[in-house]
Amino acid sequence: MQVPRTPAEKGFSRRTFLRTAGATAIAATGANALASCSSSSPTTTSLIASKLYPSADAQKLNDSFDWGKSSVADPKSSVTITVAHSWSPADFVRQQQFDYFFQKRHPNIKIVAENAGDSSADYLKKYSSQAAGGSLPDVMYNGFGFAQNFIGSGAFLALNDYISGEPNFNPSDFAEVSTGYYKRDGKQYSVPYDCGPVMIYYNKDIFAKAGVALPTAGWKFDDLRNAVLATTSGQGAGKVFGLSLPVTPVDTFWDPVRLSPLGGHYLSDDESQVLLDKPESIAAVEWWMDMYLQKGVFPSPSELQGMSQADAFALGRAAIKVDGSWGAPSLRDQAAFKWGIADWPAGPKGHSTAAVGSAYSITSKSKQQDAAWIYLNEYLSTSGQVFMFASTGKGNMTRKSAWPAYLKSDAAPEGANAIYNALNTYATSTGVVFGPATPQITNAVTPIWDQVMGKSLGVSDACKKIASTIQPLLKKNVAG
Amino acid sequence: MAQAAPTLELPGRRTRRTSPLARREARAFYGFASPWILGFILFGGGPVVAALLLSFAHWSLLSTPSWAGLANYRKMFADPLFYKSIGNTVYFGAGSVVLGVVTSFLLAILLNQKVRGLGFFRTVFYLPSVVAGVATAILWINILQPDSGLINSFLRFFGIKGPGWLVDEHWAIPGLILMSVWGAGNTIVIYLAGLQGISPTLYEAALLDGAGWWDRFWHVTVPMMSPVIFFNVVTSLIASLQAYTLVLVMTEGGPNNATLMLGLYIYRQAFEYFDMGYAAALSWAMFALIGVVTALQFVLARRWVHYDA
Amino acid sequence: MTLTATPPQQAPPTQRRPIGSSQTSVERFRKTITYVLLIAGTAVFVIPFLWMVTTSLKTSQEVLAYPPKVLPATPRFDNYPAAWTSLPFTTFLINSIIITGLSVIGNLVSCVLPAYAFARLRARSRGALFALMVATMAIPAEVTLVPTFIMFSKLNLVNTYWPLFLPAWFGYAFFIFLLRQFFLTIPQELTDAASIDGAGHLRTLWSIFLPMSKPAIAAVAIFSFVGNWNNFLTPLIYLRTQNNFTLALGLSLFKGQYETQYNQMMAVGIISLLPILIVFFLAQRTFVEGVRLSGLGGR
Repeated sequence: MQVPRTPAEKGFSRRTFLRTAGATAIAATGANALASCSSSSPTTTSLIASKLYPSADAQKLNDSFDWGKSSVADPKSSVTITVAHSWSPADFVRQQQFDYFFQKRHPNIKIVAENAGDSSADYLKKYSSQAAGGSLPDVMYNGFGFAQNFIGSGAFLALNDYISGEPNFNPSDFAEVSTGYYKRDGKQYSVPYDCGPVMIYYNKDIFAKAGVALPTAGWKFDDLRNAVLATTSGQGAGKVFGLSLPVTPVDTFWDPVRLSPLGGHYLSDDESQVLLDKPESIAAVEWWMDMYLQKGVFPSPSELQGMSQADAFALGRAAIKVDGSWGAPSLRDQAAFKWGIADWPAGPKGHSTAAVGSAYSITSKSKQQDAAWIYLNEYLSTSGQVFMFASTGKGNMTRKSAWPAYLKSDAAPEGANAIYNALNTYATSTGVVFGPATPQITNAVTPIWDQVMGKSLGVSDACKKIASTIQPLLKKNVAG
Repeated sequence: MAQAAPTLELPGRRTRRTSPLARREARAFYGFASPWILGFILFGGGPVVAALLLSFAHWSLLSTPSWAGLANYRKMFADPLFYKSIGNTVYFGAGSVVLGVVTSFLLAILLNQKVRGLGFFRTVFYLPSVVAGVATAILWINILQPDSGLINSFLRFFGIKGPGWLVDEHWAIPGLILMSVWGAGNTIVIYLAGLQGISPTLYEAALLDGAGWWDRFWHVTVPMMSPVIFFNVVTSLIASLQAYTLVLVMTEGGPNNATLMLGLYIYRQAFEYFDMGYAAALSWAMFALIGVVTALQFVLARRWVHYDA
Repeated sequence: MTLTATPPQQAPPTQRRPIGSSQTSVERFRKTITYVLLIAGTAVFVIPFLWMVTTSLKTSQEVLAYPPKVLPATPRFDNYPAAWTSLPFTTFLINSIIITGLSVIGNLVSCVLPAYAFARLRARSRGALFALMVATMAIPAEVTLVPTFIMFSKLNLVNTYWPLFLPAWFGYAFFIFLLRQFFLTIPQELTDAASIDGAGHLRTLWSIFLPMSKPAIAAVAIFSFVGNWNNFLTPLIYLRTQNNFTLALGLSLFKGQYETQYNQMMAVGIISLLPILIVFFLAQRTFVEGVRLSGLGGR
């Protein structure tokens, strides 16, 4: 029997391995120590800039504002507050610029900014864990779709006292629709930062080719239907759709946008009763679905499968996209065709659309609530909203006073005035599904609607089945 | 560490049942196993106990847990989606493991041939399991597209009308199974590692006995690889019974819950509905399912896994 | 490129086809088939990678062009520096190297020892402990994630690297199980011979088990490297400020709610993939040395 190479013969590579390993470990521990050191003060101490947001422009813009003064006094000694955001990498640069200037104005408040990226699934995973671990930041972003979960469990601080004690806050400056998502028992828990109404995006090239007149402010539901039917054409890979996205109850704002103008409803206003099985509601859903079932005006599941990277509108394959105004910046960057934004049309039973958005809150366990308020107040002041949203072309400001700067800028798309108009007139939060049971409802209706899309279940039967399936889930909304 | 002083173990007399020796060996066992034992106590045990307790609680993550007794388990046994997801999970698990274990075994043998550029080929074959998930997803969504996708276009060439992969309730799981085989690079690596342990003398002996290709494969390669095959079957079954990221990206559980796996259902309860208590109860159901299947495999393994070379 | 498949010296190829001259033509046929299959497989398996490369060189408009364009009109190599500097990716890269490096070493050390114990050392509770270890693999990570997070946050270790690499130093069931399977196939006589020589268990492990299990150890190193390098969920939850982020976490920031920058995402994705491919290429070289066993077994 032959014994393998002896340790002496074989030792070299393993000894090298050990040495390398040791060296790496030491280097790593050193670097780790450094990292933990710097993590204690990762505040924005210098003015960060990018091609999109050059430092000189940021400086000039910042200096042009009157930032006012909060009625809450700055802390006497240095405090640090942590703020959680949900920005894309590009816009987080802007955020850090804001924080830099804020710290200059408030030398005793240090800002630690966290960014989980512009994906609400990741954001929720991160911050629900922090909530469980008792380590929520002082100020945090939240969206209309999940704010009530945090509010209901007591994670946020009611802001009424701060708001009423701040003479320059001016609550009536906020578009009324933007605040509805963050209230509970008469208290307000967040200051909304953006709110966008659902509008019509139209592809001018497709409209011209089909010889259909472009949407106007006076459009009615019938005009929309005629345009959708007239622009749907072709087969297979060359097919052009009248509408880019399926009509589905998974869309949490289909009630004010699609059903209510036709006299139908999805849930009762307090989200405790299903109304989808009422005859007028079924008729409203059929108004939309008939166009799909008979003419295929929006993509079927297998057609959607052929467009995995983006929706049909972004690909230039659909005449109309029904979507929130927040989609405008990405279209501006990516669309290879001419497009515009128009008002959502009026239906036979009324004129309404949904407007939804996001907000920032102070967490109830924060130890620096005063400093957090000073930050929140300034961040979502008119100047703050112009700095963060109007000047960057993101739009959808919640303060009316921040809009003129946006409408005057080059970044505003064609039809931006219509967005402002919709936000302050016919847009509503009523009928938008945003209670704590929303994710369950969405996942419960999806399989039923799959069958409608696959044409194995009729619309009327589906509406009744949805009603009986989700009614028990609505208990969660009532109980809180 | 390598130059540890030789132990004072007496040479020769290894009568296995003498108790001082056995005790010393047991001490060595605990010493060597201590990293894992400590890890289990420090990092594993606590969270596992917590998960067990949570299954008897209501907990939204955002507030403090409250006692729920057996409510979560009662809810589970009355939940039609729980049973549906168990069925889907077992279907997907069995399909992807059988197909994956066989296919990657064949690919590993292919990648063990003595040819030029072998390192390059191995790296390329490993690529699918490490490229960005979104790249793989977009590729497969297009491959499985019912009208213009690669597979159905290929079938049409032979006059066969391909199924609605991913959009038809009955074909969604088969579609996912096909896709899961694609990313089986890790299984291939384990097989490749195992193949190096087979002594060429065994093949030479078989050749001298006049054994053909199949005989050598069946009577030398497979038995010699049985510990590794066993490992791959056990671990890939566990992994595919837990799988949910693939489903989350490809079908989100649809159409009509046809691809709702237990893992996805647990994920939803935990991070979409904030119902950690129910998620924990479902996790223990998954634990039981995997436990039974795995234990069964260990029992069956006595018949076909050979450790002695 | 060096030949990775050099025939081992101990078993010259001539010995391996002793019978008749017909063997060479059979051999040649077999080689041809092998190459055909390998090249066909390459053509298929390389597609997503090529998609990443072409996407990384496109403009935003070209990414969304319909019908899809396979190649960009002019390759945008400046997507790479643009994407790399859009976030502090150099910092992320260093963080990833530190965390992955510490985890791989930790995994190797802390899995080899228990694997040896489970394969070779007898103790009354060995079977039970092994069953317990396999059982831990059956508990879904989603449900232990938050309790583990709470534990580390009580220790004040959130936003440090400790929660990301420390567990790797305390064994990992999958790797221990894998190594145990390989250790079990090492003939008992070898161990006996070593202990006759007076070698302790560490020596036996070091001088017999490790050299003979090189391919399995390489596999563990690959898996540990890839797993930690691409891990995104734990860094997402534990790392709060951007200066501590890893490459995989930074990469996920390109994924937006309403807009995904595929070209930038893929540019950074490819850079992030390169270390994996290098590690794999180097590690797979050990997958040829098994022939050494022929000299040992002597059965």
